[in-house]
Amino acid sequence: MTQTNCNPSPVLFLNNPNWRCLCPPWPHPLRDPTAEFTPLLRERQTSPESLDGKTIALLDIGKARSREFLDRLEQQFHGQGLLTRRYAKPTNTKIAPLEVVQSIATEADVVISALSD
Amino acid sequence: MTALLKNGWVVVVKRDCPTCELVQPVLRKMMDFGTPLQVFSQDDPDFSDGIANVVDDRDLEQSFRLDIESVPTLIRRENGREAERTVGWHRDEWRGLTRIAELGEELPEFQPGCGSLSVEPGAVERLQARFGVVPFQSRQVPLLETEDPIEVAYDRGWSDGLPVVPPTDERILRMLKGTSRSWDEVIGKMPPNLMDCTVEKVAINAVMAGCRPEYLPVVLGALEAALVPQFTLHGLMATTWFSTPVIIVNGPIAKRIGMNFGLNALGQGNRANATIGRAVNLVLRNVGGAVPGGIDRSTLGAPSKYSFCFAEDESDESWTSLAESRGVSRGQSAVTLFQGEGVQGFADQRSRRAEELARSLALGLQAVAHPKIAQNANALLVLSPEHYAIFQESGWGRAEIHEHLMDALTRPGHELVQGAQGVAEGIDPSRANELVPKFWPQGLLIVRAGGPAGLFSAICGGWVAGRDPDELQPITRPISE
Repeated sequence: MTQTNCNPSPVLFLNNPNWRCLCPPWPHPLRDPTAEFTPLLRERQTSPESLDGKTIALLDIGKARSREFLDRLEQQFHGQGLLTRRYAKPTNTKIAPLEVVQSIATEADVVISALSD
Repeated sequence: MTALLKNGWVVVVKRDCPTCELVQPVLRKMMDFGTPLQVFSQDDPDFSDGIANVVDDRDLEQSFRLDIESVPTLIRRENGREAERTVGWHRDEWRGLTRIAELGEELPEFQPGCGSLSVEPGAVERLQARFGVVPFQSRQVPLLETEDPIEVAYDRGWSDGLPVVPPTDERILRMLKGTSRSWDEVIGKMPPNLMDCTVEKVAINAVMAGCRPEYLPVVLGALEAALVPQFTLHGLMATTWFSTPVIIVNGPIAKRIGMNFGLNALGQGNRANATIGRAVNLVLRNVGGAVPGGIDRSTLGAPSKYSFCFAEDESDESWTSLAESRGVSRGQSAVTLFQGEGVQGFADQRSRRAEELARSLALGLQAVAHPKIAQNANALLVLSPEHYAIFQESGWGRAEIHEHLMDALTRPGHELVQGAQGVAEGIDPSRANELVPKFWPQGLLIVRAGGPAGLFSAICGGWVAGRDPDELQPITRPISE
C-alpha cells in the first residue's frame, strides 16, 4: 500500500497506520521546458568522418580475452599510423570507475570498448 | 478503483471528523432502509463496524472525482448521475435527500462538517496530476525508475549549471495557481529561436528555478518586458559582452512576495530575488535557445547571468520610485528590465554635501565600459540609504540627483578622444571640441536599495551597444496578476 518514493517523505507519517501516499505512480514524468527542437530520445553523438589525427582509446572491459582482441586492433591502427591509448576497467561486472571515464574524456577523441570472450 | 453506485446513496467520510463519527448511527439506519449505500472513507477503511459497504478511499481518487470539499458529504445518485448532495450534518437536508422521515432524531439538528483530505494544501494538484485531466501541451519526458530527475534535467541540457526542481505536472499545476492567465496563452516569440513562449513553458521553467506560484506574475511581466523590441533581447542573448536582463521590481507585489530591497539586496539568500531572475534566464535558455557556447557568445559572462533581480526600497514616500519615474502610477506593481552586467562597488565615506557626492559618484560612473567611452552604454546606479540621506538632507530627489550627475558626467571631448591620455580607446576624434555626456539622459537609471549602514553604492554597467539611444532601451511594464 505504501509507496516509498513519495514527497513528503512517508517517514513523517509512520505513526499513522492509515496514511497512504497520494503521489502519482513513480517515477513522475517531467514536462519538457524547451522549445522541443530536439527529439525526445536523445541522439547519439555522430562518429567522426575520419580518424586522422585523432587519439583512439582502447578500453579493456575486463573480460578474459579483451586484451588479446585489443592488441590486435591496436596493431592494425598503428599500421595505419593512428594514435591509440589503452585503458581498462577492473571488472566487466561494474561500470567503469570515474577516473577511467575522465581519463578517456580528456585524453582521447574516440573510444572502442572491447567485448571479447 | 471501486465504481460508484448507479443508483443509491454515496457518503464520503473520514474517521478524523467528529461530524462523520456523529452520523455513524444514521448511516447504519440508511443501510437498513434498503436503498444501496456506499461509504467512502478517506482515512480508515474500517470506518464503521456496522456498515458493510465501506470503500477504502485513502488514495482519495473518488473524493477527487466527486469534487468533495467537506465531509461528510451525502450524494444521491440516479441513473449513474448525481441528483443532489448535502454537506456536513443538517438533519432536514439528510431527511429530504434520503426521504427517511425520522432520520437522526437523536442527533442535534445541525453540525458542520470538516475539510476533505482531498482539498488539503498540496493535495489538489497532486490528485489532479494523478487522476485528473492535465491539459499541458509540453511533451512528457518519462523516467526510468533508477533515474534521478535532477540528473535527467542536467543530461538534457535544461539547467544553468545548478540543480533544478523537477518539473512534474503536480508542481506545474501548483505554479499556475499563481496567475489568472491561461496556461496556453502565448506571451510572445522568444528569441533567439523565436519560438512561441506559452504561460505553460514559463511555469515549467519557474518550477525548475525554484519559484513559488506567487512569483509567477513577476516572471511573466519580466519576460513580456524583455520581449518589447526596444529591449533588443536577441542581441543581448547573443552578445560577447557580460550583460543579462537585470530585473527591478516596484510596487506592492514586491513586499507581498517577500522580495529583498534591504541588506544584501543584490546578493544571495532571498528566494524571490534569486528564483525570479533565475526563471527568466532559464526561459531564455530553454525556450529561446540562448545557450552559452551556442547563441550566447559572451566572452567572459558574469555571475549575474544566473540571476540578477531585486526590489526597490519604496519606504520613503518622498522618493519617486523607478517605476513612477518611468510612467507607472504609484501603487501599481511593475517590473523594469535593464541590460546590465555585474556590480561595481562604489565607496565614498568622505562626502557630506550633495554636490560633493554627485561629483564623486560621477567619477565612479565614468568607469562604466571604459572611462573614455561615452554615450555607448547605459548604467544603473543603486543608491544606498546612507548615500541617499546625504542627497535628502539637501532636499534633492530623483530629478535633482539625476540632473547633477548628468552635469558631472559631461566632459570635454578632447579628454576622451582616441589617443588622449596615451590611451588608444576613446570617442571619435571629431568630437574633440564638444562637451560629451557619459550617458544618454534616459540611459542613467537610479534605484534605491540596500541596508541601513554603509556609505557605499552600487554601479551596474550596461551593455556596450547603445550608440543609438532609441535602439536600446530599458523597459518598464506594469505587472498583471
